[in-house]
Amino acid sequence: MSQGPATAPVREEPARSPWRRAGSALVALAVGAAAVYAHTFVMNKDQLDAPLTTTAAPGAVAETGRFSVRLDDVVAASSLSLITTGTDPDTGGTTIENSTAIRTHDLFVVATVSATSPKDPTWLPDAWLRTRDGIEYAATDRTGQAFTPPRPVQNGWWTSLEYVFEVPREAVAGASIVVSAPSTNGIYDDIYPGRYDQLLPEARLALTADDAAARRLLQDVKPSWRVTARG
Amino acid sequence: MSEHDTGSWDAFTPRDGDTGTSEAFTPRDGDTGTWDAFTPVNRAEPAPAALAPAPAETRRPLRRAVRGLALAVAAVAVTGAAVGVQWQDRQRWIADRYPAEVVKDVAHGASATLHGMSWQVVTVVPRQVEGGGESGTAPLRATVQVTPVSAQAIGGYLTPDFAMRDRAGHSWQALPVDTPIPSDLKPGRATRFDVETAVPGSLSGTAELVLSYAPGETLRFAR
Repeated sequence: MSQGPATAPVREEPARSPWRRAGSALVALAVGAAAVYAHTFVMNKDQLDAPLTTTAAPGAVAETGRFSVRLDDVVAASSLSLITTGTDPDTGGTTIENSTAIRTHDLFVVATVSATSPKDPTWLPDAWLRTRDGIEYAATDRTGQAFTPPRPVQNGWWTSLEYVFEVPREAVAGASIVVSAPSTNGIYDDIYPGRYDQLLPEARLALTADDAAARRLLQDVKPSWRVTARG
Repeated sequence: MSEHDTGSWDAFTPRDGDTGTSEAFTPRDGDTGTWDAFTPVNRAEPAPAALAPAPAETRRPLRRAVRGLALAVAAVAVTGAAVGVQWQDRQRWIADRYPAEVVKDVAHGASATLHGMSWQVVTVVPRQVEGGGESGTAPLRATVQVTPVSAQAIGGYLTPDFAMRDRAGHSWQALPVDTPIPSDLKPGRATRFDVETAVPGSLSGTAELVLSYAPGETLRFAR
């Protein structure tokens, strides 16, 4: 009778069960599917171009990263008297260089806002009146270039800006004044229009506190309102 | 008898007088396991090797834990590398498009040369504005002197951008008035023009005039 040399028994890996293999395959499939699904979490063009909006009630300050703005006054008028002023070289006094009247069958909404900047000079030439249901009216060009805010808003003080809109009466209730800083992408705007205008700051200022205030505004439409620009 | 031997062995227990060499129990040549089954356990034989050493029972989960940890570390490293490469690429793109500003400080009353032009701020004084200007502001007028170093520099001359700045990172618009054009300039001859600006009243004595052609070509004139 003979016996071989004593050897340590080898502990074999237990065979993986088919259920375990199927479970692993299922997990791998789920991870792959999740990865593919994650690629659908992308913004479309409208979402990419959407501004960063800050809202504020009438008289309250809306602070964006590049400027702060508040709505000081709103007037509704059926006609505007556009006055361009100058300086008398002899006396140094203010003179009226030009006066023009414009009328509308709808409504002129003259919004006076104050704005400042936290850091660098910022131009705010563009504004819109956005109705409750999302329709936008650009500031009217009927007033001419002289009445477009010519100065930048700067750090340290508040600058008064006037925007004039020509809108139907029914647009007033629930509307907002939207002020936006232009893109700073320079030449890229001409090469790829809109492509780099992402995350632009936008302030949305409620035109009136509520519908009752909107009704009061419409009941107090001025037959003529004077708007002044420096020549 | 082994402790494993049981009563069933009694049937083969030698009786008194039996020596155990009885042929009936003596395995013959060629007999094998058949008889081994009846061979009493030899206690002198070495004990069979211990089944799987005890530590193996704990080593296996430990090995799995180490492997899992290594996988987790590798996953984090690979993810970090993937994000890092994209971040670095984006940083390079931003650096190309928005180069860091390089500001050269010019001492009060001193001049500095940029693009073949020697620049100096002569004075910064308050100015009068119609209506007094915006409340809380200090309207200022800076007189700037430019001297072409050579005729060649005049050909490529462009009016630079101006601004007023404080050291806290704020800036204010500064507009040059009646700026010279190349035909107004002569090599070695100083030409002056004004730059109008307004800064917060509290900074009227400290805000500095900055002249710039590009972020990397900026002069800041100390007050």
